[in-house]
Amino acid sequence: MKRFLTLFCVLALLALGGCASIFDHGGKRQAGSIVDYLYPDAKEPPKMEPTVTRLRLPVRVGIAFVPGAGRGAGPQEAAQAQLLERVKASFSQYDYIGSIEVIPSAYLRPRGGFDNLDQVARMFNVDVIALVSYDQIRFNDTNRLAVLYWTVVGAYLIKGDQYDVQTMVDAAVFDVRSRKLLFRAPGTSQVKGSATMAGYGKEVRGAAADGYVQAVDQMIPQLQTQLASFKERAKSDPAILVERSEGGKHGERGAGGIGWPLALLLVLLAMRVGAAKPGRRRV
Amino acid sequence: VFRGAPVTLALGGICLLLACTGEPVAAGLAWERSAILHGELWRLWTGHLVHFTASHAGADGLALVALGLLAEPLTGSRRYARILAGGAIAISLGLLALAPGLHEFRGASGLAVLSAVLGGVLAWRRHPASRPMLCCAALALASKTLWEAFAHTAAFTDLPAGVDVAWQAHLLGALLGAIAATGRRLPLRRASHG
Repeated sequence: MKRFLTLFCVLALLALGGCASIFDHGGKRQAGSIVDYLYPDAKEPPKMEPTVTRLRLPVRVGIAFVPGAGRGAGPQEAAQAQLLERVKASFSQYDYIGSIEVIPSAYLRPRGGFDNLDQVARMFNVDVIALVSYDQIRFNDTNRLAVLYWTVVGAYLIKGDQYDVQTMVDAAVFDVRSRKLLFRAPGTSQVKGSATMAGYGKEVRGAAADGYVQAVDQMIPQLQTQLASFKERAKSDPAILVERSEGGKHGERGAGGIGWPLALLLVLLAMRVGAAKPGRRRV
Repeated sequence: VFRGAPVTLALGGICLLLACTGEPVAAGLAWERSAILHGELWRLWTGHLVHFTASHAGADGLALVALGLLAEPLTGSRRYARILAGGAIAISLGLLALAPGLHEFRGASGLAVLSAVLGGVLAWRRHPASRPMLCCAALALASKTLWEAFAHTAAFTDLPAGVDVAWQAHLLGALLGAIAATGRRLPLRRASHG
């Protein structure tokens, strides 16, 4: 009987220890790097060519989160849209910003580079894109109360897990044509808290979302400051040429477009006329 | 046919090549009002060789090559090259003067329309049997240009969003083609066939 009781205790300890050990008490990192996105295979630093950046006012701006590495990286799509809408709302009062398009991350290809940026800019008809990169690290620890998890009930009642979510977001504003970085602004946040073992996942997900919200809230005034600074710099920087559109809705960008139907018609005409025999009439 | 139109084929090849080089090169060569006024004069010519999209380049390039294959043998390659070079700069200067709201222009269609009118007028004289077809083509081209001028929308043309059709380039191209075709100093070269 005594041996049976000892065996039972050992098995119970192992079972409870197993329950406790399935929770990750290390750290976790989510990142969407702008360097990885724009320069995916760069082994050498990009060559900077002295080009003039031309900005036509009112400027058309796109804003997007940099695609992260792997599935589930970064905020969820709905959360991203909400965060970007907050940024958009805070810049709607400037008359030199014509429109701000929130670009869903599905349109950006991981490690897509400037080619992908060109495609997206053309698709959404924007001149400038603000790319929001992010880096969020979660640290998880247990406190002394975690010993009460051994009682099983404690895992539901005692907040023995602590988390520390540190978030950094950075908006880098690029002129798509010249591929130049115009300005950038960061935002950071730190969210700390504790949770029960059973409710840990839900609490940490909420903290991670709060981390992004707080970091973006901190980034917005920085972005406005940097925009004002860039506006002043553009007046004196010969590499930046700011033009005000006079054409209104129609005529700002024009193209001579023949179109495929007429082009094919003209091909047929050229073939028929080219094959025709010259007439008798002299010219 | 191909030996008789080296200028046309070279222009078609350049359009195709530039369509493959990507946006930075195209942006550096496009007709841009402010850049031209700042001294980047090459844009007066190169703006007619770059396009906004591959489809835009394909349609314009195809029309330019087809009509060039018609017009170049009738005018002679050197003369045709001079007409296109002069036509390109005249269309560009015309856009500067006639379209003050236009800040950027790309496309070979102005030159294609110039070639169409030039080739059409010369073919009208040389190939009387083709006149009904030429009438139909002229009517289609004129209708398209008029529609775009008055309706402010592109007809049968898939331009990217935010890009309007610059019908002034077509009108200028047509006028220049007519002037080149009716110019007294433009002798007709006999066609190699017939």
